[in-house]
Amino acid sequence: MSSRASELKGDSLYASGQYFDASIEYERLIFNSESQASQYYYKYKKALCYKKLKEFERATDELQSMYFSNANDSLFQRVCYEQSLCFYLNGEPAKALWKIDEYFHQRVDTVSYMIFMPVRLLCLNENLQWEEAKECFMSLIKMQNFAPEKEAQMEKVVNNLYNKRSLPHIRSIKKAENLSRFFPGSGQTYAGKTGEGIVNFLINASILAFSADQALNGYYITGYLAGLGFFNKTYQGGIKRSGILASQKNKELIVNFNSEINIAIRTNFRFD
Amino acid sequence: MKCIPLAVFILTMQLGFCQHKGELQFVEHLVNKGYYQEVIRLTDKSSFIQEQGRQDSLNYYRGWAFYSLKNLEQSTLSLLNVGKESPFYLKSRFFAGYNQTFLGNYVEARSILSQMNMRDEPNLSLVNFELSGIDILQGNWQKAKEQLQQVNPNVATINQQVAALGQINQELETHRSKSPLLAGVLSGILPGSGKIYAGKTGAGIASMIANIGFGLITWENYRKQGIGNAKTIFFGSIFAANYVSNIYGSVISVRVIENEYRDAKHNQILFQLHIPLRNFFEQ
Repeated sequence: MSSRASELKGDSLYASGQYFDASIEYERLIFNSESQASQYYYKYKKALCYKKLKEFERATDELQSMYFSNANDSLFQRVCYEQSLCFYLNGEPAKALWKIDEYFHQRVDTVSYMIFMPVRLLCLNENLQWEEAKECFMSLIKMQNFAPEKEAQMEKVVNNLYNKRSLPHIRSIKKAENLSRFFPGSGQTYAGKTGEGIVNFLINASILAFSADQALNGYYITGYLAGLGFFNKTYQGGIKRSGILASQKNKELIVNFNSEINIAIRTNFRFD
Repeated sequence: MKCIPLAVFILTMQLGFCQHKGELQFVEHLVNKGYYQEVIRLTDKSSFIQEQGRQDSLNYYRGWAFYSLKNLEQSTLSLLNVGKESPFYLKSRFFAGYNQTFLGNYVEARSILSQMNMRDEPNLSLVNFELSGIDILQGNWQKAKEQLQQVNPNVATINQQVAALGQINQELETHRSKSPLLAGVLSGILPGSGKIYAGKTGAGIASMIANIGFGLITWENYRKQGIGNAKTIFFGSIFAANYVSNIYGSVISVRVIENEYRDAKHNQILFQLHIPLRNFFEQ
């Protein structure tokens, strides 16, 4: 099969959603390619297949194996973009930001700057770098060449989003644990699970009351072993659980915040 | 003019042959890069299976891909389809035998290795070595010893593993199993001591503390409120359940420890059987 036919086959498999088979065809093209340029091109296409298959780590591995001596190479921008996007999708926003910064360090032009902005914005949000994220969003609005009224409206939206009150209220894991340490159940409430906090408090209080009652009535062994022994388990478990809940809540808040931004970008911005 | 159809035929055959060779090289490239799922997907296609003259190599690569993905049943099936003429024949047979040994199908493993009818060194020594491993896994200590003695001591690549396998064989032969009954009796006399006897010291001490704790709580309630009191009955039941389950746990512990010991030895044997295969065929 000729290279052209093989490429057509790969592209048609990709277009029909058979990404794994398409990745094999692109690997065949890499294997048969004699020039580095075409090898890089097919590696890029293969990485797109992995991205579609949600195998982001394989996609970044494939893209990472390319080295561009010329930053003006048209493929360089696409590779850097996909790499940063796959890092973000793989839950590695710091690496995505590093990749974008590396790209900007080597090549700065308005068009590519705009393409990278949404990923950069989402990554900055994930890293809780609100000020930089707001700046990034504002630059993106400026690049869109909106009509003055639309631009003012968008700026207002961004100002509202990044207003201190609208920003996600990130819970401190340490604080949640300490709260539960001093007052069982309060850490869970702080993490947003009031019901669980109340139940946890009642369990701990009941066991402690049982323990005290036994000790006061002269059942020292029962009070100490059955009461405090059991209390120790529920108390320590409650502290641990508070930390987990706070961490889960933070993730949920960031996801919601980023999806709001995602909707705003999708409905108002153009990246032609 | 008569030569033209012949020339076209030869050209077509050559083109076909080149294409097949290219495909095979591509499969080899995929294997070398560790793209095993891709190899399986490619060789699954009927066009691949029906190719003449390349089936042995394709079966080998397919078997190797399955082996790398730990699908040993499928790997064996493909590896056993590699013909005698293939340069991959020996490797395929030995690894098919190893796969069956790993899966615990010792009769099949023995038959695969024996069917090779090896007469020449060092492959004969390798067969004897693998067979001795199967004997140890089956508990035939004496036969394993005899089989190991048949391994040629001049085959340097295998010497270390022969010594290691010999030592494992001796350890298993002289190993004395602990008694579950004794563990149960010990735990009945002093809770937790059965687990300590079985080798689980930490678990034994924990059981002892828990039993003593519940015992003390029950005793306290019994002393102050008598046998008929609900609290005495409640804590007494917990103590009794804990006491009985601890005896049962000690009996099980001995079995668990014995199984762990056998599993560890089993893995050591498989590991020792695998090393020479790698050394022989993966250079």
